[in-house]
Amino acid sequence: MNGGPSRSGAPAYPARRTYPGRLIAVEGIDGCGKSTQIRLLLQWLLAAGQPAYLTTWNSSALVHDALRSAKRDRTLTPAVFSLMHAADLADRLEREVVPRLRAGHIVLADRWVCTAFARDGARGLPDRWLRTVYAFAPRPAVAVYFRVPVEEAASRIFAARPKLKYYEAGLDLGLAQEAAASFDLFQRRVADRYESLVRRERLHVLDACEPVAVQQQRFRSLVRDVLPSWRAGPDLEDAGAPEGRPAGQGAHPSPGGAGRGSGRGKVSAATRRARGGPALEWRADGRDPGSAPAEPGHGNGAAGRG
Amino acid sequence: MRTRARRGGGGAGSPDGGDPGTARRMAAGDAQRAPGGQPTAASGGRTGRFIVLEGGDGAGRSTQLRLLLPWVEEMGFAAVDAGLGRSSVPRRAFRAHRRTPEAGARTLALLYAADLTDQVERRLRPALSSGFVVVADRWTPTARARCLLRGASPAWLDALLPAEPLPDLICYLDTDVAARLQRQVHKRGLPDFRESGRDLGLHPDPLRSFVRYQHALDERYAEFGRAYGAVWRVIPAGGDAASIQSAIRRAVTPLLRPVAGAAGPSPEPAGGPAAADVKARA
Repeated sequence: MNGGPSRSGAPAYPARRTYPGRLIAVEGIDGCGKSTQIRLLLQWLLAAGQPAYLTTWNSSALVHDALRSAKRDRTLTPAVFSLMHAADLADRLEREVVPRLRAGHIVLADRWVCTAFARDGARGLPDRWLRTVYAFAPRPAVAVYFRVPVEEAASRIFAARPKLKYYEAGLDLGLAQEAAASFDLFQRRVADRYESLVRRERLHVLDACEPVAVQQQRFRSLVRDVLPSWRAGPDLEDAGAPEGRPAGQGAHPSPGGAGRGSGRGKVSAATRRARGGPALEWRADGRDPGSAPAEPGHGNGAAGRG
Repeated sequence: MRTRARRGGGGAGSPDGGDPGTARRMAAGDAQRAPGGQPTAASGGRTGRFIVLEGGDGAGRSTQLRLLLPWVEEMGFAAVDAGLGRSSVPRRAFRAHRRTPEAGARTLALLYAADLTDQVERRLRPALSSGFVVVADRWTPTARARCLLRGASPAWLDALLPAEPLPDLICYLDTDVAARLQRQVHKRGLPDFRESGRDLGLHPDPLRSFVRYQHALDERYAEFGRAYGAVWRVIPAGGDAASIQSAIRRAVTPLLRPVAGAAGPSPEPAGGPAAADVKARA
C-alpha cells in the first residue's frame, strides 16, 4: 500500500495509493477554459449535494507568497520553479486534498501533475526527474485535457487582460523578445508536451473550441462514469446538466447547474440527502456515509502515482 | 544570504534543452553515490572549494562560520557563504512552514530542495567556477537527515536534493546532546517545535523530545560520515570556540593551497590567531 515504485520506476515517498474519494483534474494550456469548466462541475456536484471541493494550482497558503515574490523578482530558474510548484502541490495535498479523499469526498483540481510535466518539460527539465519529484501525488480518477489551438487560447487571454505575465509567456526562456511571440512559442511547446501525455497519463481529451455548455456536458458524463455507485437516477441525470440549453460559445450554464428551469437546481443539498438523493451514495466501499474515514486500503478511488 | 565577496548571479544555464541545472544531472545519474544516496567523490572541473559545516541544532556552526569566513579572506581567497535556508526564493515559505505545525514533511523536503537548488544554480556554481571558497552552514546532510526522520524515502531525496557540487570537506561539529540542549534553552527557552522533533510525537515533554530527536539525527549523521569517507571530518566541538575554530582551520588549510597554486597558510595551533579572532569577532 505504501511506498513502492511508481509507474515510471521512480522511487516513491511513502504515500497511500488508494482513497475512498475521487480526484478529478483538468489540464490544458493557459486560456483553454479549464477553470471555467471545473467551476461549473463544482457547482453541479454541490447542487447535487455532493461533498465536493476545488483546489487550484499555486494556491497553497505556505508557498503562494514566496512564489509570487520570486516571480516578481524574476529569480526563478526552471528547476527551482518546478520544486516550488511541487511544494505547493505537496502542501495542498497534505492539508486539503488527502483528508477529503480519505473521507470519501470529491476533490476537483484545477491543474494537477500533468501541468508540471508539460510546463517544466517545456522548460527543459527531464521527464524522468519530474516524475520522480511528483511521485507522491495520487493519480486522478479522471483527468481531462482541454485541447485548444494556441492562437485561440492567446485571443481569449488578450480579451481578458492586455498584458501577459513574464513566466506565463515563457519570457524566462528567451525564446523571443516580444511577450506575445514568446507566449506563442512557449505555449506550443507546452501543448506538444500535453499531446505526448494524453496516452501515458490517460487524459480524456475534450475539444475546448466547442461551446462551453457542450464541453460541460461531456465533462459531466466522464465524471459520472467514475462515481460507480452514484445512481443514475433523475436527480443526477438532470441536475445541472446543460441539455437543451442554447449552446453558443461563451454560454455559461448558471451556477448550481442549468437545471434551474426545471427547479431541480434549487433543491438544497440537505433536501436531497433527506429524500435519499445521491449524496455520498456513489461510495464504492459500501460504508455508511456518516461513518469514520476508511482505513488505508479501502475503496478504489484516486490511485497513487507512488 | 550573506556574501563577503559577491559574485554575479549567474543562472541555470540554457533552459532550452541545455543545462537546466542540478536536476538534469541528477536525472542523468552521473553523480557518484555511496549506499544511502550520499555523494562520495569530489567533482572535478572547478577551481573553487566547497566547505560545509554540519552538526546538530545548537552545535555552534553559525559562530564557527562567522569566524572562518574572514580568516579565509585574510588568507587571500575570496569567500562566499551559503547554507540551508539561505535562498531568498523559499524564505517566506519556510517561515510559514515554521508557523504551521500541521504543515507536512513532503512540503518541507521540497522546500529544502528548492532552497539548495537555487543556491547551487545562482551562487555556488558561478562562485566555484571562479575559484571562490564557498562555506555553507549546513547542506544536504541536515536536510536529508531531517527528511529521513520524517519518513521520506532515500531514493526520493536523492532526486530532490542537489548532488553537486560535492563538498571538498564537511566539518561535522561533534557535541553531545546535553550540551546542545543547554545551548538551545539558554538561547530561546523552549526549543523550536521541529528542531525538537515535536511534530514526530517522540515525547510529550519538549525537552525530552529534543533529546530523542537529536540522538536520532546523530545516528543519521554517523551513517553519512561513513558514506562520505575522508570528506567527512569530525571536529570535537565540546570545547571553547577558539579551539574549535583552530581545528576547523587545520582541516581547511590543505584545501586552500591548490586553489591558487601557491603555498597556503600554515595551520594554526590552538590558542593562536583563532583565539584572537574569537575575541574580536564572536
